[in-house]
Amino acid sequence: MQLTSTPAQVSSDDVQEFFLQRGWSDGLPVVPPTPDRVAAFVAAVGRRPGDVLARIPEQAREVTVEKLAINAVMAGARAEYMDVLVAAVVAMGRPRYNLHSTTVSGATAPLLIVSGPVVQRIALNSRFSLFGPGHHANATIGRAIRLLQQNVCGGRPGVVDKATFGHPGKYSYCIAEDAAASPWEPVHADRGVDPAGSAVTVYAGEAPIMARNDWSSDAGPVLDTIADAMLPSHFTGGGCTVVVGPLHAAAMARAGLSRADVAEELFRRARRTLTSLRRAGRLSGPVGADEDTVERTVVPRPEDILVLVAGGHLYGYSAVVPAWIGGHESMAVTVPLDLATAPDLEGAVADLTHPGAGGLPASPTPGEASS
Amino acid sequence: MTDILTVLDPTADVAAAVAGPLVEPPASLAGLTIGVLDNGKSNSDQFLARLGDRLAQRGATVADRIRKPGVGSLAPEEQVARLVEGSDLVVTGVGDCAGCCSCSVQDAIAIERRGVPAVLICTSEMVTTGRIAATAAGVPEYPFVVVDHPVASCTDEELDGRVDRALAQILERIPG
Repeated sequence: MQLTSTPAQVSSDDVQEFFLQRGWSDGLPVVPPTPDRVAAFVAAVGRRPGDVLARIPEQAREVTVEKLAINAVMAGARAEYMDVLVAAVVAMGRPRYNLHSTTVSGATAPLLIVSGPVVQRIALNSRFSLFGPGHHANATIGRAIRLLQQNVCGGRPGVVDKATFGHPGKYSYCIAEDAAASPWEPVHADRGVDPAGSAVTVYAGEAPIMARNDWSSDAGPVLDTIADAMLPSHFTGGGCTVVVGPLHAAAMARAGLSRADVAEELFRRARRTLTSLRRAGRLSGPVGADEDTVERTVVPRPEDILVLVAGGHLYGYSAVVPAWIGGHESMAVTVPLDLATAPDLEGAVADLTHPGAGGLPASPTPGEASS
Repeated sequence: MTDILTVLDPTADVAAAVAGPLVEPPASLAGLTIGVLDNGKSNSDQFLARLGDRLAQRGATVADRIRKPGVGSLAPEEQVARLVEGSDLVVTGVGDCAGCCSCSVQDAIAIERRGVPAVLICTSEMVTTGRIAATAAGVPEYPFVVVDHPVASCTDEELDGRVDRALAQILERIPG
């Protein structure tokens, strides 16, 4: 296999310092990306090292399988995760995700949501401590994406990535859907992917906000609690991701709510008046006449709310993941896992109408509704 | 035991560098038809309008003003084509955030690669960002017009000061 990345010779005693000093790591130790290890990762998806997975025209750069493999090795990932990683990068490369701006501005990391049979195959955690540590696949897949963003996509902290705060998910931000606890079809089924297959969804997400309602087993109060946790969103349009905990999902199932019903209910409840937004300094300008009766919704449309089930099943929690500040300029993108090994990958990367483009058309503007 | 390892560079490949300017700047502002590409950052319209007035006082004509549909994306092909078709010089900015500055640098270089000189305006805090963007595009020494950071939250008075500073730098490159 012909790898083209520049090689360097370094002693095993110095190798960690070598990566740190060049700004090539996230501050934690890395697995040295030796040519043998990198070649094995490339071979795992049956692709050529130079195959392009994503283009970033705003930076005049592209992401190849070889660069992904190097960063995946460094992250401590396993070769068997490469198809998930390839699908994630293809998704991030879609213009509607806006890899450039979401990498260098705002306070988001790409939240990877993996769904379908692959979750079991590579032992991704979809349950207790969903966003937390302790699971190899979640930890290293998320970290591989982070290192790739830093090394290939302009995300060097403080250099090009000038985020004011960032968030802890920038170390790793990878979760899986819990199909067994979900009353609904897989999250990818509504997003252009075969329900029986596997998929990776990427979403530029801020840190999760906990929506706790442990006292009600009825869907209505639970939906109110989740909708309230959506209100810190930026009200700039775009999407919102809601990870419904298993107990909350069971309450919704008992009420006979479909996923679309849940999105509709949350859309209806998650809104603030213009007066309230202005008083909180969330919108500029003085309070205008009659603004008490004009409401702004968190997202422009119900279908902009991405709903999935995951998390531990002992307590009544859900989690809301607010979107990037840029609103509709970045939307969630879903890509089928089998694209990673498909012969027409190059065509899929170029062809924005491919089913891998996934999801819904970008929504244009912040929503407003009269109460 | 110490081993010698071969490790591979995880960073992006960089385009082969082009030395010197892509397009020679015009000899004089007088008589130039100027196109303005507003990147859509807060206050960039105000800044570019005031700068346009100053350039007009030096004998240029601002013939076209275009605002990009997305501050964090490249200018669409039709906007670039329209500016290249109708302008002797394109002024673009203001890159005062990491996302928009990289994009405006790429826009300016794309316009120059089509034969029309461009002026890229960014803020002092974004010079490194802009330099990385220009290097990735293969023009590591692409010149910037630099004003104090920020522009987005400037008062009128602060804005005028920054416009003056931008004009002075443009005049160093293109005499009035």
